[in-house]
Amino acid sequence: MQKELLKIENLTKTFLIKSRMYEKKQSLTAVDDVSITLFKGETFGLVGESGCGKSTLAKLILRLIEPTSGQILYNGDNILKLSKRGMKRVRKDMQIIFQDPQASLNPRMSIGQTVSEGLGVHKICSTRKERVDRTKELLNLVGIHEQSLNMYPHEFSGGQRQRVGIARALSVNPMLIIADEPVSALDVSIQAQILNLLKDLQEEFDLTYLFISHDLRVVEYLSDRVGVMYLGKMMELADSKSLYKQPLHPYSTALLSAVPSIAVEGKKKRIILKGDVPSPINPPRGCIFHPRCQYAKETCKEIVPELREIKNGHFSACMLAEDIFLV
Amino acid sequence: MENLLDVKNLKTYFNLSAGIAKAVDDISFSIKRGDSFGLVGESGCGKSVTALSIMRLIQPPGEIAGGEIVFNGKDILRSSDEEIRNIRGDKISMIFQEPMTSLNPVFTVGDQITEAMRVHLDISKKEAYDRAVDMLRLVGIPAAKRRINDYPNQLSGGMRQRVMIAIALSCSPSLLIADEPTTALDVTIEAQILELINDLKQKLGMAVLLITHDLGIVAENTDNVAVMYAGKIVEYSTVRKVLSTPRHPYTTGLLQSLPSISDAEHDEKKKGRLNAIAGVVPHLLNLPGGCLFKTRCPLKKKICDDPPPFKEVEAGHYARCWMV
Repeated sequence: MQKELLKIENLTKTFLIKSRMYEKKQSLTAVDDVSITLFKGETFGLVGESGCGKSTLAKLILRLIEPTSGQILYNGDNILKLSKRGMKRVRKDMQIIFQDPQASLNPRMSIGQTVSEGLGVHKICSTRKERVDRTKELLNLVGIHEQSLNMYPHEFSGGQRQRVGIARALSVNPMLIIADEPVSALDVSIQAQILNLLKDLQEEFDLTYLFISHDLRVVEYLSDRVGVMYLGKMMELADSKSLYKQPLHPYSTALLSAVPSIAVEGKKKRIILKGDVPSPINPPRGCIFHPRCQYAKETCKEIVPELREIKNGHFSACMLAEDIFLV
Repeated sequence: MENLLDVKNLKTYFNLSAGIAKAVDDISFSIKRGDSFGLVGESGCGKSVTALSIMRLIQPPGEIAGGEIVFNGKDILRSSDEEIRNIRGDKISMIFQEPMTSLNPVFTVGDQITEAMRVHLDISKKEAYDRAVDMLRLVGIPAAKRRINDYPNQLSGGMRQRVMIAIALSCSPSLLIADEPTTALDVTIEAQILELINDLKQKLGMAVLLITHDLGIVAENTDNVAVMYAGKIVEYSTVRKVLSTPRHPYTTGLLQSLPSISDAEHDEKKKGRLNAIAGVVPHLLNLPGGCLFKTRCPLKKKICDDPPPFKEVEAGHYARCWMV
């Protein structure tokens, strides 16, 4: 059995927001009772459309925001109970790569400073020379020439900036990297370079990835297991192979069929969902997906379905899953 | 069938203090009536500048340095401003990538839809309003009568893009230019919008110029396609030919760098490396001599230092490469 690195249990985050002046605060549940286990060395892909709570989940795991309820166990310790100092130790192990490499690099720091900052904070290198050497090594590792050390982010292209972001994440020898839409801002040809890099680094350093993306093609390529989120809830969770071969939730089926395919022959029939994603402030009763679901029955409007195991290791939060997909 | 739009040797240059950036350099293509044509390429390859040139919306320091854009038998580049205003928004209209920034936040959706109709069509305010409601219904906005008084911020991204489409189609154009119409949208909404554009294309018999970076969208929504790289068209043919037998190494590279969801190869392929194209797109002010793609091309030979010809490799299939 693989070793559990990170275990999230029933994590919920509710924001209180005020949409108009003088109005009572309303609650918005961005992440609703989500449980995931990440095993060491694997890539867990998290997919969903904008506003489904993917990025909130990433921030919760890093404790950049505090959850409303639930537990986050890292190597068996509940990190929500840790003090600031204890948290610093864990932060070294968990790093994040952001979507927009332009916005996530400080324009007034040279890339050398950006990459080496963590080395000082976590006291990884004691002397200046050591730090410079380690920084050069990191830059080489991600495919940036070490002489670029003193250049600033604006002197780089988007793909190179993303490489700097990756070098920064790697600098403190993390165990877990959360990649929040790391390639969505990049062109296709550059996207492939970065995906290859992420894959190589994972092999070399035995990294665990939580890979967040809205692009199902990219997630399929990289992930061992995949979770599909919708309006803060986990709708389906399974092995990547199993999910892409036979999705067991109507939302995943629709998502998959919506991806434009470059195949010229044999066009598949599209399932086109009606309507927009409902507002998370006032989510539908019962199954949150029922207003857009082509299979919805009366019971779907009343009963909230639970995420349950339908096949070996394949979970779905659709109460009709067997009737729809396994006949 | 006669061509609706003929772009011939179009050159759009930007005169910058650092030099001349040839954003679009000598490109030619044509679109037939009722056809859909795809223009693909990565950021900075000149797709959007081509679209803006057709609309005559290029502003200094940019200028159209040469070529012809023949629309309905008339060269747009030699038309007066008055004539162009009559075409723009009426015969040719355009939808943009970001539906929030292209709608005016201080006017209601109804105001913005009726504006174009009031300018181009000789109709009363009341008629325009009724027609705007019909347009909203046509693009699939529920409760159109109520929604027409909404401001853009009250609508979701997909709804806003539908409103943009309603504005673009309000005068029944014969050519719709869609510049990355779904890039800012989620996949399920993207599928809705593309289906809507295709539907309306059939219903109204208009031609569509679809600009995108996504080869999948091209495959499913266009008849002919041109692949652009650094301001030039490098490959041009029917979608089927370009995607199934690509002849230019850039097109091949683009296709191979896409992770694809395909059931057949699912099991064997798993987890190989992607065939990425090495390097980055050259800067427009610092283009390599000869073939523009040679700095990244796996097939590069000595001859590539000379500019390659745009060869017809088979009937109706062109590629700009020495190696074909």
